[in-house]
Amino acid sequence: MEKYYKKWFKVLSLPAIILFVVVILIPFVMGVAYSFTAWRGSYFKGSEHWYGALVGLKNYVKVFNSQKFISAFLYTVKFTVVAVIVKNVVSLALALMVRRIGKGKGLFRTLFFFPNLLGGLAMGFIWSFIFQNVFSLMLFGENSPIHIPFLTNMLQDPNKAVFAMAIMATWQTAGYLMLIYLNGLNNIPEDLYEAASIDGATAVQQFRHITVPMLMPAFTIVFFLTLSSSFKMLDENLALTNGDFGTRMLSLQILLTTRENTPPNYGMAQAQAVIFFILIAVVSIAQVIITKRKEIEA
Amino acid sequence: MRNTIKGTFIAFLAGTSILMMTGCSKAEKDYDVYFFNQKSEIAESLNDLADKYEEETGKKVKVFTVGTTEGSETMRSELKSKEYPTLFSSNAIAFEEWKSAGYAAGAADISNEELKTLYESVPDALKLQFEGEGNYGIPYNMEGYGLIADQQMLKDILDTEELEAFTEDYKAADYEEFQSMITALDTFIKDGSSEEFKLNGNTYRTAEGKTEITENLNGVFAVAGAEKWTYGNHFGNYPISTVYSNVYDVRESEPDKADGLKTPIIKSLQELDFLTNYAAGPEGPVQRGPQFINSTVTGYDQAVQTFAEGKAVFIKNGNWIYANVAKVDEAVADRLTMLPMKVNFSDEDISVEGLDVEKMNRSIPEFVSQYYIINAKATEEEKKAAEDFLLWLNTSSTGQDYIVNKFAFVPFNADQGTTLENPLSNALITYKVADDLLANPFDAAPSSWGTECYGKYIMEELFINPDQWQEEDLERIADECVDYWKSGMEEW
Repeated sequence: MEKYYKKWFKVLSLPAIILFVVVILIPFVMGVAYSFTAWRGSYFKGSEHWYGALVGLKNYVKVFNSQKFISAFLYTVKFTVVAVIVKNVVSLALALMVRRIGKGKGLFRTLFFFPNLLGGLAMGFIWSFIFQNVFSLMLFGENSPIHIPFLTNMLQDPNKAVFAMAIMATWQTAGYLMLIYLNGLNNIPEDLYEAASIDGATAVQQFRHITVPMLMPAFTIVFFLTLSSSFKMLDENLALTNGDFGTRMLSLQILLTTRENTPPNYGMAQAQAVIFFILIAVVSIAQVIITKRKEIEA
Repeated sequence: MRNTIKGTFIAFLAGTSILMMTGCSKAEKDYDVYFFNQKSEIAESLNDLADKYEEETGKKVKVFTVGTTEGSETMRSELKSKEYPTLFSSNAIAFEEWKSAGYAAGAADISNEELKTLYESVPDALKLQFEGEGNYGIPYNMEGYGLIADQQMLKDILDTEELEAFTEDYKAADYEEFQSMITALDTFIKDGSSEEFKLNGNTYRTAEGKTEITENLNGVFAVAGAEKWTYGNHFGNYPISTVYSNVYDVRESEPDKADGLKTPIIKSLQELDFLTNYAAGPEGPVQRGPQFINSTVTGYDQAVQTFAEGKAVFIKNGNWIYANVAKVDEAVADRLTMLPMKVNFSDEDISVEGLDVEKMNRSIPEFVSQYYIINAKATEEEKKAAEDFLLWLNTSSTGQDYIVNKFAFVPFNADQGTTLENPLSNALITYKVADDLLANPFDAAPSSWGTECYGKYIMEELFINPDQWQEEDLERIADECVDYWKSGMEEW
């Protein structure tokens, strides 16, 4: 079988490569080129061809001077920090719990995984109802039995909204991330724990010195997934707050740039997309390198 | 040998995948006219009309409809595809893109003489112009907005059998009189007690006690507080109208002209401060505050329903709500009327030529929502077919019947003789005939000013604030709105 794959490797990988080139690589290169032009969607301002409408770094200068872009960037960073922590803590906790229980393990796994099957936009509208009515009026409002001001009108304040979006995103993805952690936990040999407990290590010590280092490969994957998905989040942002109250994140900012002007300023939107790409690439690469190093140490 | 076989196989696979992806259809087009329509309300009747056209002429019209939000994106790629639309639609402001990209045929390029005359017969104010010149489209219809009310409701409140005198006096009334009417209505709603107010100097009086229709009232206005566009765009159009005469004026003026918006913006915000004190919700009055912008309480559909159920006297909205009101209560829908929105500007605030407060107070904004445009990049034969269809749509008896009765459109060339099922559309015709019209310059506002700046401040700072709005806050917001307008112009 291996021989077969070796022999036909090039042929078998060809469709994927062609698809990648046509759907990702070519548009990407074109996009970078277009980010230096006065691209207006259907045409290039002042010329028939893109190379005739070059404007140098003008689009980038506009982007860096744009209050909307800068506040979207800062807000995205804020959300990402919160979301990565919350998602990781919750999914790891779920994994540890599900691993320990004996009865109904499968049921809990399914239940936790379930929200992951639902689409982001539809979920967003449901959660928007939950935050606006269930949280603000029924559960934690002024006339409710438990009055918690922080949990009311969460979508009308940028700081509260970070947590509102993090709650929703965690609810949605924690089950999936839990499966990755669960797999990692199952791969830790039991005898390590046995040896440790004979040596008198407490549960906390076992967790810190056995579970955490042995889970590093799972951490790498989960961190990578949560970091980039939080950074790129669009649906939840659109459905929950639509960027109101200073909650516009980068993906939404790029999308709206093409809608806010007529004719649409695609050149400027494209420049933002290129910056966005560089940001994600830098963060992801740095993070992979750092966690890889940790893995080897472990 | 092996390598050659493998190489051929690779080449073959590469070839087929590329073919698969580009979709190599060389088939003849199976239609004569391809019409890309961006008004979803008429999608079904348009398909019927296309069938009628085929019956009459034997020419096949392919109609494709996409609603408003995603319309431009879809049309952009359709126009670039091999099977491009030969006839498409656009509003006055998005048109600049299609024209700049070379897709719009002007009156001069029309070969059909009769259609050319029709292009030239469009009144100047309704022409689809590029850089202030020419006409590149035939208007779909006229739309307009103002204060909408159920006539029976007004009759019951005023305890009168006919509204003609009231309507005339209301149109002539100034802002102070309007305010006194609103407070009188408020007293009537709260205690059912009779109160006097003056309109155009004439005295009116609210009824003593409530009737079956007036007893459900929760407030004077139904407000869609959660929907920025309802006040950001349509209410924002009033301050904009004091400085800019139409969309082209916005596009072509120097950025500094926007300085003139400051005072009108402040006044418009003060007016909103006043109006929102009398807001009706589905269950009792609604106060400004976090709930005022909760989309499940003051969403668009909810606001229309609140109004249609007789829980509010007025809703500021357009003639398009007829169908939505009819879904709740047909009797109410058939009794609707449209009054002008009152503004608190003074003549000094208005710099548009030929416009003063008195005219603004009796006029309603009317505009063309979409235009039919012939694709200039189509072949001569395709253009001819599209021209024939467009002419037939606008001049044949079948076409005109569809425009008025099936699309429920106010035709751009409507006159006294035109009557529609929708009473609001008939009201629009009355204003049009009397020339009591304002334009719709907000359509051209830079960088989505209406929803991303003006409307955003209203929602995020003002509507959630239950107290009276402070002068200095309004001043700051107005300054920021002017700055946003100017810097938005730089992104063009």
